[in-house]
Amino acid sequence: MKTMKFSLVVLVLTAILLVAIACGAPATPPPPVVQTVVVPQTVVSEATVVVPQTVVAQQTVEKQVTVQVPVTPTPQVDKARAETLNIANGNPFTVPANINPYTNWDRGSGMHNLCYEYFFYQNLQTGEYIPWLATDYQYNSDNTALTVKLRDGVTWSDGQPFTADDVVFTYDMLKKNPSLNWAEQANGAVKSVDKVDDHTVTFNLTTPNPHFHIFREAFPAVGIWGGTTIVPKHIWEKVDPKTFVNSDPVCTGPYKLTSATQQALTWTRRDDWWGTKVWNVTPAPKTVNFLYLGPETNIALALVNNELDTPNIGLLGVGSFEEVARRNPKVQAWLDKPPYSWLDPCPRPLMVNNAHPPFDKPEARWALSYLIDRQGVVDLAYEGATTPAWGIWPDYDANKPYHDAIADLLKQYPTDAYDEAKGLQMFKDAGVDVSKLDLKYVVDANSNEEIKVGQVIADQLGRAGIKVTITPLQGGTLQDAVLQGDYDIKLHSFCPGYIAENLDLFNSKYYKPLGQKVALFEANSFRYRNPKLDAIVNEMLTVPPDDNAKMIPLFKQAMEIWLPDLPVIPVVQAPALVPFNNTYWTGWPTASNAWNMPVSWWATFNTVIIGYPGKDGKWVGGIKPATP
Amino acid sequence: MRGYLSYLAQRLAILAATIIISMTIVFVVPRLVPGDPMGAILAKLSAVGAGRGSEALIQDYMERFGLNKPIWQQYIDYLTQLAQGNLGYSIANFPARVSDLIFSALPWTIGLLLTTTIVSWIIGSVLGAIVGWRESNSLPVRAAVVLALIAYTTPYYILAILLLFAFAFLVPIFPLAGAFQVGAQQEFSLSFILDVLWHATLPALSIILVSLGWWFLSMRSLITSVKGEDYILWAEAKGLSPRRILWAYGFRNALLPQATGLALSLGYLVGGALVTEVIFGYPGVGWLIFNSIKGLDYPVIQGSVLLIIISVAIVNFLLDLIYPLLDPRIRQGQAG
Repeated sequence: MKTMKFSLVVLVLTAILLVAIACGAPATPPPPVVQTVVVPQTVVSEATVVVPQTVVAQQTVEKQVTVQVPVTPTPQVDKARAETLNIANGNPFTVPANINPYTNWDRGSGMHNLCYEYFFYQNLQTGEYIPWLATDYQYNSDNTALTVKLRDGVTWSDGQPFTADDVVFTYDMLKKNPSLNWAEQANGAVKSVDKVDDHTVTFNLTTPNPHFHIFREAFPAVGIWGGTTIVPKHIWEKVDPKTFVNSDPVCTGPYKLTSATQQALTWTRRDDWWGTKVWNVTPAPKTVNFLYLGPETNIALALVNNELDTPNIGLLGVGSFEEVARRNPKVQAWLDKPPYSWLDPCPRPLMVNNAHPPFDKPEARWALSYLIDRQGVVDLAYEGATTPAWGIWPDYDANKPYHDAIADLLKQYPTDAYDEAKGLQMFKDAGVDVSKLDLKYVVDANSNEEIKVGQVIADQLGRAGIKVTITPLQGGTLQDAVLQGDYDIKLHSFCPGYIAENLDLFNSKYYKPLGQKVALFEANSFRYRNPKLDAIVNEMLTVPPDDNAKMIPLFKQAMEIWLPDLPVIPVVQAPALVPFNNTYWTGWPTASNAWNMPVSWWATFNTVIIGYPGKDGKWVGGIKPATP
Repeated sequence: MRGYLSYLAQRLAILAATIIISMTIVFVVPRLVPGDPMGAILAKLSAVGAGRGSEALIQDYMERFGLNKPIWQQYIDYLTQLAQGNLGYSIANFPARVSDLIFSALPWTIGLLLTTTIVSWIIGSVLGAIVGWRESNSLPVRAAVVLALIAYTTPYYILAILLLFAFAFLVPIFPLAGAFQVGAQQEFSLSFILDVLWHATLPALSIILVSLGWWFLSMRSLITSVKGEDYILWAEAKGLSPRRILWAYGFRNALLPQATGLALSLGYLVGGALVTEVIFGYPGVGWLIFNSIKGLDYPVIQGSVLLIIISVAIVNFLLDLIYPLLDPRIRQGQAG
């Protein structure tokens, strides 16, 4: 009896203790006040070239210049930490470090943004096509060949020059080893690569294709996430690319790998990067660490106590982010209020199987569209971190002209409208008895996003009287089911997000009857066919992607067919909630300073760290130390 | 001695049989799970938008890992490879070798878990013996029992997160994650060893606190049962001091089952402590196994589970050999 009473007392005390920790925990002692004072640095450095006006702040001070800021004395800002950029990855790394882009898909290690570089980078936010390892590209008259001028002065990290030989070798390697990453796409698009001279190459294409220069799977231009990587001939010709681990990589990028363990890859800036000579620019962080810190709680804690500068995508949820931002006001995302997120390029429509009645009728598909409360999906499944979508393209500035061009059409065909009564009426008018429907809703069991959205949509449809059976699948079974068309509805991301390319997914050239496997979920597992659309889309693909004048009218024509048909139902834009910590580094891209894309795991991240040459010769962006 | 030799031979035979049967089970069970390693790879590819046209890659993988051969053929290959001591390549992390993956994670797991298991066993057993020996129902005794119960039933996860929050964040003494400082050189220098110990403190503490409870409670009940034995009464009658009776008579006899428990725990420790490793970002075997199961990475699953089985079997075997030396009664049972 006494023991019981005693146990009760101990229990109550423990409970009180836990509650006290959870609720009453004071906000962490505020991080050392780091005054972000913009001090035009009168840099006494060795760099001789007088650089265009705005760039002065880029140069890292080689000597220890202690800037006496006449404000609160900056408390112990650890000098080493202030020169380091820490990025959190979602998984531990495999060691030995596999820096072979042709066998390793994990790009949270820094391999394709700190080490390897590419001909061109696409700034999807602004629409710029940035020359980096290459300076210019030119199609021949019938778009069957692309000639690329390589930049002078580019060198590999071992001093050897980067030349056309490396490009020819890389494509040759892909032809000889078709199992390497993206080799099939490259080999399918490129017949051969000719060396014109040391700094000029010509790609001979298999078919006329004016979009080849943004075809990242076959060309070294980075759009979404990555591109085809050019590797050094003098190293790779001696190895078997399928088993080469490349732990001590030779690259053109400004960082070299100095340490690789399961928990971190450490990259250190090297002094002999070619970009410093050519552009007189040095990346600000001396060391970049890609770390594995553990689960979401650790990442949140590390952001609050400033051990971390940014995590990769999907590692911090909305709730955690809000709490982190509350405790550490220097942590910011793209937007400073909901939905916080940047727009991932691949929106999430709901694929509807056009080959399963009643959804072979466009009226039925439209009816279903009216039954979906997109804002509800945003609020419940995404915790407010994204926005409803009207179409299958991301709402980037660069895409605005296209949206504006079809504004009238969208009024007539409101793809993001929610009207349960209207939807049910449309079903009735189409002769469909909703109580007899049992929709098979396939979700990817490994995707939290799909599971959550699935539950919300199933709920909404259920309320309207339609029975929905959620079928979670994964791995091979998922692939088989969707590719063969064994589903009624499924949410999916539609990449690459480009205007013409995303419409091309509806091309009947990808069509296969039910039971046979199509190539991709988004092309064309939903079995849509319309020869009139094909004709327009095929023509769109012959138009250079940045030729808005020609592309927009074609786009309008295509949408005049696509919108009434509604082969897939637009639901939401894809959120990319990526927080950045301004304690040690500033200049991150945000909605109010949308100079670049806030994606630390893409190959374009080097343009965020270093900045890039803008159209009129001015240097754009690049992160800077918060305390100079 | 002949008795001992036949005992040894018997145990060896059981060891061999255990390992062979386990090897077969380890081969069969992952393949019973719906799905396949290619599906996991495909999922990874589509996640980066590279699912389009990767047939050649999948084909290459299937051939390299023999996944398109009939099952019995794969089984023969598997046994042959094992006989040569080759654990193969990881499918998900190709071209990393399974042995490299396991042996780079193993030192951390063994280091952490060996220390914590032994430390918590010693502390738990000693405390349990002391507490169990006393007849009294005094406050310290009751408190100890209740605390041990709380510690024992608290899930690792909760305790680990509380420790993390308290000592790596609120009062930032210990590091948040990892086995050593980022960028540190892995060498046998004093600074590195201290660094490792520093990083291991919180994970170790969470494991010790939780397992302490178990050793404490089991020892306490063992001691209580030993207390009633005749030889204890005889020792008291002889006039020996209570302390001597506790340690030389009670504790020693209660130790045998406790030692069995320890040995079994030691056998399992190569399986890692998954939750601890995830929370503290500790690069151990638990994480490796978890990921390989998620991705149906057959070679890694086979290699690591085999390691656990062999380790447990060998420890059991050694225990069987040591038992007669520890307990004269078993020794007597052998002779003649």
